[in-house]
Amino acid sequence: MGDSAGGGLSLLVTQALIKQQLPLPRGLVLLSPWTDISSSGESHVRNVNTEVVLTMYERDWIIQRLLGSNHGQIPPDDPRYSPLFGSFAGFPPMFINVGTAEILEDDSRRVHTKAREAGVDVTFEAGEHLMHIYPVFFHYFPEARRTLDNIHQWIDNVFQIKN
Amino acid sequence: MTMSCISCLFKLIKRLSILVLIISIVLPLLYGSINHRYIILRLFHSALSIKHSFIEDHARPNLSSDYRAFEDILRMKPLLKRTAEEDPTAILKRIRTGSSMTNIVPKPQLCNITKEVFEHNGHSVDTFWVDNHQNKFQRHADHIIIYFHGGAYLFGDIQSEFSIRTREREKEIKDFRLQWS
Repeated sequence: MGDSAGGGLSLLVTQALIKQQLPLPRGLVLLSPWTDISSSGESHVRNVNTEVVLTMYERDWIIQRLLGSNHGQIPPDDPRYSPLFGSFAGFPPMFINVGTAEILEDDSRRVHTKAREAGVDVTFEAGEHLMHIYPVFFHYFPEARRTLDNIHQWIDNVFQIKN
Repeated sequence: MTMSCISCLFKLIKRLSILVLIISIVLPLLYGSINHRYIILRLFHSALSIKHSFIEDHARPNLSSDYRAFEDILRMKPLLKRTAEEDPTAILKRIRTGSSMTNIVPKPQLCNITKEVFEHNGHSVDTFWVDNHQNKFQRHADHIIIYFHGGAYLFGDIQSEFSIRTREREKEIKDFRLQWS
């Protein structure tokens, strides 16, 4: 489970586990995962005015910090950094949640499409007009609590199926 | 005359201090936290929600007034602020040492957090066991959730990240574990 960069990391870790044929988690829960550090999703343009969380998005600077001194040599679609460009074959069931007001909306939608094409059991919950990692703010509004309840139920099912 | 005025003033002060005392007990109980910034934020949010319940948002009719109030707050006081002159390293440092997320989603009073450091091949990672049901905690249960927190791989820490996991924990997931990203 992970949110934002932690969601991207959950995917990278799972891809690494599959590659090395190590045991996998029973399921993945991703809240607004950051899956494409090249920011090629159209939602970066489409949702720029509705985004309220990632307002200080020093994108180029952050990416340079992430990739280190040789960032010039790393292709933008390198799957070691952007799990969107990696493989989803063999993934465990996934629950992906994203708000449709986010600049990272397409990071989730594209992973959803690719994973489904690879035959992965994906549950996708889009929070209409909602913000980045909105379930985190469950103290404040019912939309967040509803999604958390759905996630909770989904996790319960995943645990039950394998038991 | 003067005496009665003074005694009147005394009565008023007494009543006011009782009121303050009651508020200072009731509000933390109501919101489950003694973080005063968080309590003020919740009160402000509640007031804004009432305002929004009278305003319709025709473009987004599905949103609750509570959501729109919270969105308003973020627009007024962004989570990640910056000034044009500030250089990114300074911003990063400020965000890392700041506590804005802790004031928005504070740790529940009874939640237990234990640090454990894992080492492998010369690398080490700090992890935290998050348990909001102290009596039933079973570290070696086979239902564990590993949580990788967000923050662009550059910021965020255990202080800012436990709220959501502890809520899941409250809902009886067997075991809960939080990991740094």
